[in-house]
Amino acid sequence: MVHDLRLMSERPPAGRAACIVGIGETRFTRRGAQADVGEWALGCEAAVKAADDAGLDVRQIDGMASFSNDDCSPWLMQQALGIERLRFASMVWGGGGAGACGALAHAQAAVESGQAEIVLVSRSIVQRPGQRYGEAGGFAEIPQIDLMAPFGMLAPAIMFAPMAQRYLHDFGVRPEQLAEVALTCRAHAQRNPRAVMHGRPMTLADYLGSRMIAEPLRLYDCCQENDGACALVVTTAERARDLKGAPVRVLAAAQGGNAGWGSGMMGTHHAPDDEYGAGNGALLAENLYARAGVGPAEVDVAQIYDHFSPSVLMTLENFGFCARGEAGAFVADGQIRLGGRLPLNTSGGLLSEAYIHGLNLLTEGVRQLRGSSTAQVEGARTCLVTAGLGSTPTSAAILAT
Amino acid sequence: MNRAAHLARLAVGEPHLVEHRTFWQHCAAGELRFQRCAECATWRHPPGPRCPACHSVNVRWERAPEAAELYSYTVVHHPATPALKDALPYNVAIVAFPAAGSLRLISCVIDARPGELAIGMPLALAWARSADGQALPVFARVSTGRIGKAP
Repeated sequence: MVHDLRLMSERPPAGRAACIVGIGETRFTRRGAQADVGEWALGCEAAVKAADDAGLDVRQIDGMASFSNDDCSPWLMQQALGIERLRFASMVWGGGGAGACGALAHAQAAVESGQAEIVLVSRSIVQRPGQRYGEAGGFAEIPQIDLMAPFGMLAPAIMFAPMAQRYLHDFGVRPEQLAEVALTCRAHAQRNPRAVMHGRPMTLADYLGSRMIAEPLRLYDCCQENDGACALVVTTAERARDLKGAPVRVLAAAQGGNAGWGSGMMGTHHAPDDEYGAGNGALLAENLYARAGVGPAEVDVAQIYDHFSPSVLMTLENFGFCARGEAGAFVADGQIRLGGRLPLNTSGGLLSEAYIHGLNLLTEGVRQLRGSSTAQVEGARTCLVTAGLGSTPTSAAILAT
Repeated sequence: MNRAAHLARLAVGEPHLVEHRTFWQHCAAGELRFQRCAECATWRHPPGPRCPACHSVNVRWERAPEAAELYSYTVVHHPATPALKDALPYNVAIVAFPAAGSLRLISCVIDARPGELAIGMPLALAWARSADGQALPVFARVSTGRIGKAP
């Protein structure tokens, strides 16, 4: 079936176009360090900071969008924050962090359609013992888990690894090339005092010497498990004009899943042959660029979902920054570092800043376009942000000054 | 050495999806069967309520084609649960059946050392047993000729 993507690129009246006007973050820590604070309190802190950043009273929020079911549901947030009129609430489908930019897409749809005026996009995450993402207990509710768990496919690294294995095998990507993703993120984190890995630089020897988790994934190919929360405030361009800061435009935000994927790596791995090792991003990329009216050549900086480092290589190819199979050479050539063609994960990413399920990639995207990143790309005007690769639907966004 | 000690530590449990029950019942009877559309003959797995190609609800459960191969895999070195600490490393295999389209099964190659796994290697069906007594379809390297006993 062929869809005419031009039909999807209609924009709302200029005054209603969605903008991000505030961002808020808590402290990011190692897993469990904020377990006694809890997801609810962390989520509230991020929400209040995001509203303050926008110059709004948090009670003026009239819509909420999130993903992955944290303890910051609309009813708990209304209770704690005194939200006066809740008009919109959305929980995105899609495994894990695949919904990060989807939540932004729902917020965009809400403000552009007039269902709400000021939408909070938030994610709070606390890794409790027994429910950690690196442990089997966190995934018992996957509906197809009976076809996975009996064979030891119990945690995301194990679920992602066969896709990565196939990708590296098909294109002959060497460990030294894959290492460049983790090394770049760690280098960027050294400039970011908020990063959990700040002050802990890493060498190629450190990377190659790190223990295997699930081949081909070494420890340093896997993101951290962290506690913390992030929030964004989304409103219309018209409303943004009355607020204190310069708004960041949501040029496009979209969800997507390729044909034949089903649940993908968070399920039974039955993706089509020619796409299995590429992740689930080709249709999403096409849709997103069509909606945004820009292509890869116009993207100045990117925040790419790096739950596992091979995801960055696959995403670079899906989004047209290099041809299929060439991402290993692209990153090894320094193209994702500052000064390269596409500096990415400038806060350190999920590998080295923190794993706030990808919402911290959106807050960093906003900082880049405000000119306030600790690894600022000079003159950045557009930023691509992507969400968890390998599930359906995944999501992505293009932000612009 | 048992290369698949992890299997006896893990349970299948009661499938959440009704559609999965028949798959496991066939396994319990010592048969690996997949759904195949009774109208258009498209194979499918995991089990589902309709054929994604023609939307027919009419389905046959057919024996898996004999020829299987390793589509991809991982060797797990870090236990996601303490129960597997002394069952490491173990492999998780993505098995393909070229005669059945893009049908794939998550499983294990029970007789391969980590370095002996290779994408594309031919495999033969074998059986193992889960912690809760369910017969598990697993695979053996064809070159060894070792086939597990049917349950």
